[in-house]
Amino acid sequence: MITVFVLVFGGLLCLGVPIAFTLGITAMVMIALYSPTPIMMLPEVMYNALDTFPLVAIPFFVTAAQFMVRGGTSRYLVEAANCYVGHLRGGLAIVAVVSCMFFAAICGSSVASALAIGIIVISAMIDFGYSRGFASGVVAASGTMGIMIPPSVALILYGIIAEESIPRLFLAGVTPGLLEGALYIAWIAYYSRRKGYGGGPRATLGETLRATGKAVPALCMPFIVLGGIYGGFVTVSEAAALAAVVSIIISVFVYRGVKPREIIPISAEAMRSAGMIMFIISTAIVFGNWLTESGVPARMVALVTDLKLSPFLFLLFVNLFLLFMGMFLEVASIMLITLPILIPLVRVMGIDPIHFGILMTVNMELALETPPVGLNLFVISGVAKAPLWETIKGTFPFTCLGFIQLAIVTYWPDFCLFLPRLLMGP
Amino acid sequence: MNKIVERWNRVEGFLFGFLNLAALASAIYGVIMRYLFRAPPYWTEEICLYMIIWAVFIAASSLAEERGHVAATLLVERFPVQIRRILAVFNGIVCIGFCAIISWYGFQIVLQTYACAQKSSTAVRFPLWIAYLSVAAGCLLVGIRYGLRIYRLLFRFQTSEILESHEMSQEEIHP
Repeated sequence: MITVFVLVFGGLLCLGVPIAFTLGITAMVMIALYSPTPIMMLPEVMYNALDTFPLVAIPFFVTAAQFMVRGGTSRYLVEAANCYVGHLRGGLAIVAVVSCMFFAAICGSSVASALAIGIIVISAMIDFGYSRGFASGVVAASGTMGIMIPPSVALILYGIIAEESIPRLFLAGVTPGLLEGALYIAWIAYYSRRKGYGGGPRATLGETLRATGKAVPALCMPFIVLGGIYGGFVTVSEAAALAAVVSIIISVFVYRGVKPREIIPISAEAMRSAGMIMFIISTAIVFGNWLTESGVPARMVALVTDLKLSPFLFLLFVNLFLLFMGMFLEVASIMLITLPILIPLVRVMGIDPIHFGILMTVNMELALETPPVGLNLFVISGVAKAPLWETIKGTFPFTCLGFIQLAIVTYWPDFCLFLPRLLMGP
Repeated sequence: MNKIVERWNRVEGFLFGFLNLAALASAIYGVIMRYLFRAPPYWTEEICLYMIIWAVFIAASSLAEERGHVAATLLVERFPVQIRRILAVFNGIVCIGFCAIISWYGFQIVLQTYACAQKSSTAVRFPLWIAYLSVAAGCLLVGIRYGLRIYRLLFRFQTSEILESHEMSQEEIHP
């Protein structure tokens, strides 16, 4: 059975069959050969995979991000941030980090965050004498915070598969996200001092007030989204819908970057990128169901208990494994392939599933910036018009900082768990 | 032929763009009614979900046309064009096989639920065949898209046809 699986799955994947179809076909072949389940049921499984209301948050958050990119929201965010920290050493790079964090607090996608801020900040940084590699590295790395700082598409997916509370997962992502931002800013400050980057005249009070005023609608968005969820007013999906509607209104009527007749095409673009993820979810659940039914997860649990692995070693292996997967695959597919096996193991090892969700997300952030396949690297090298290796080199120091963050999150569970415990009880 | 495909693309794009907005509107309508009028409608969540699921499967077809489904193509991109062309035809056939099986059984489920007039178990009593039709119709559309692609690969070949344009590839970046 394992030989057939490796041949079909590995073969299709390497030959460049889209991941969604690779997962679906592998599951179909394995079920036909080894499982009593009739293939007739598969369309229903594919449908049921999507038939859960929390999932609609994914297209809605993507829609919010798409309208903010096209409507000019990111430009005003960057301009406002520039007035406050732009005059410091490495100012523009810090602006990039802060604006990415802010963008991450509105939408839940990493590629969207990197793209939204990158389009505006990278050319400005190059004009002010930063090297192209450093500029693209800062944005490629900071963009990954999109899935760490709540809301987060990755955590929504994890919450649905692991059946954990999504608002709780979001809260647990706050401290690791802030830590990541702080680490990046510290490195930028050190590196820019050495290289003599940045440090221009300070913005006048009038300029600062004007820029802040312009950014007010954008600055309000995180409060609507997160305030709505934690105030207990709306569910996560409804908060996503609110974010999308507010960003449409802002882009069309306030910043006027989007014309009314562009609304449907932009919504279609958003739906296309969300549909890509959702279609993978639908076939990956077929795959996951087969995996669970095949008894592989149960055997893995028996194996791990037999080995008497300590949680310390177990998490080390999991991290290495996810790092390896992250070099070649993309976030949603990695999560959907590995979680059916990992979640039962996590429960047996006595690891808090919320803690594990954050650990998984940090790994997914690294997956976005580790070559040879890193979505943020690809997108940013396109935006910066820089060769891929230059972006990889520029991102490398930040990836190292990411490993520090991963070590802290992995071996200090209370670091991410204390906030949800404090605010939502044990 | 090209004209029909072009029009088809536009109709699809409009459909899932519109469904996404309509789903948004129904979710927001639910929130507004709950807080402003203290009369939460019972149907918004469910209808919103049906619209998103339909949009996903229609978008899958559009993604197939634009080669937008992510794939691990790092290795394949190193191959010479003719080998990639053969591989692309093979991949198309594999995907058509999957889509054919899913839509065949999918349509049977649709017919069954239609014949039994099955309704959703909520207060909406939504006819379920419309919901199940999304999977069957979506996979049928995707299958046809791959069929057209194979036709183009074999008889109307252009080098641009072979380039990968999804997010996991660097060949053609769509920001």
